[in-house]
Amino acid sequence: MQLTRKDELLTEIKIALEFSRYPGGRYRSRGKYSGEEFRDDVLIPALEGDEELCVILDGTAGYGSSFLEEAFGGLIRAGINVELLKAKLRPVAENEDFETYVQEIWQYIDEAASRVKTA
Amino acid sequence: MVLALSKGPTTAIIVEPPKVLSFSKNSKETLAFFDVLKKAIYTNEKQRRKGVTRPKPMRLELEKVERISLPCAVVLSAELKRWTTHREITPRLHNYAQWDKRVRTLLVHLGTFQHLGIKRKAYRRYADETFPGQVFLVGLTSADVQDGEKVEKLQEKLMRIADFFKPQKYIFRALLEATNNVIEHAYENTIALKYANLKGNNWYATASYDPSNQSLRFFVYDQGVGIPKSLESKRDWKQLIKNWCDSMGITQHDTDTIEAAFELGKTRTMQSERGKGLRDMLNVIHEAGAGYIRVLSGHGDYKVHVNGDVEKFRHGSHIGGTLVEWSIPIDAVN
Repeated sequence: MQLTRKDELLTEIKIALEFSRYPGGRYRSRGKYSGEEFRDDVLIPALEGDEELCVILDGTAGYGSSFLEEAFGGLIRAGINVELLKAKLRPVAENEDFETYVQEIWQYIDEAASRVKTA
Repeated sequence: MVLALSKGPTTAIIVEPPKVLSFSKNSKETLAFFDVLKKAIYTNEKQRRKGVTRPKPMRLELEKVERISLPCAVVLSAELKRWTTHREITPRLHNYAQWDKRVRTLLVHLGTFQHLGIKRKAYRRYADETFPGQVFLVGLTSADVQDGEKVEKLQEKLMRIADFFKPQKYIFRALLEATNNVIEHAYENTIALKYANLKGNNWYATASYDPSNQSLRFFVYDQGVGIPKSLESKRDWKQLIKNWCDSMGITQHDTDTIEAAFELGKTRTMQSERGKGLRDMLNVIHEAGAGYIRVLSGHGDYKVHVNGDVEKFRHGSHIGGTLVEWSIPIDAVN
């Protein structure tokens, strides 16, 4: 969904509504609604535009660390630059119950970026 | 006494459990019973009658059981469920009116009668049976893939039998990571499986509410090689576990390996997916601020309480997989 918020153009993805209320594990081959599926089918296409990408985390049953690491840390392994992600990606928790996932997402992105640097 | 008797060439194989089915109170006989049960299932003994070769019928004499623990009910139900998916015949349960009512209601709640194809009218009256000290269980669910929806439905179903309970994200995460461990690791070394002809990479899960103990419990079970065997095949884990055991001055029994895995999983040095998964599993009792997590795997039995107290037990034989159990007091989620 594309929205204008103040002066900026942004794309908004509500995971619970547009992907699944029940995110699964890491790999697509291991079951539905995986982190890999979310990254490749939803995140990467959405990041191809010029707009900021707002990912609303609320409304799901929760997230496993495997899902979050593969979906977001996996963006780095898929060749997306960490600076680009810092400029365009906005994981959002509207409810405080989900705030912990925002920090976790950035942690996985930073860890994946540092692994790529040292490789 | 545990028996697997073949009474003549044309009669049933009878599997008789011990009076007490419990991994902690009657470990030796309980493990021997499960071993006999699996052997009876997977040997798939045949007989020839009237010119036709068929699998021998099997009978499970549960009326002999006077006491069954919840972990044993989960394992028994999972074994019987797997039986129905891999064999043409199902085991016969009989005389269930004579069974101990705790045994009967646990298996009815877990869905075992349904899995075995017993008509509902034959056991319907036991579904609503109530008695002091009764424990309520959610039907056993299983899959051979990661399935967040099935995992979350467990919590939603638990809400129906414990209406004060609200699904918790940290429980969803722990259950998801436990099932992830099953899919990723439990069945990877099939050579190490005792019954190597078994198929399926299933996880099984359930949850319970015990009003008399004011506790909730969650279970994830698999029939794989066990955590210790699986970790032995990972070079990084193998060395770290050896170093940890050496530093603690303990031998590397399966129980110690499980403890080492949890201890190493807590550290930032163990950043692998497995390390994160173990942390997520342990995190349930820390988020709840109470309770324990128990892992029976291989020959090991390891329980850690929220205050750090540890209980360890070494079993004489392999449990035939891994059973993870979380127990939290209802006050922690109320």
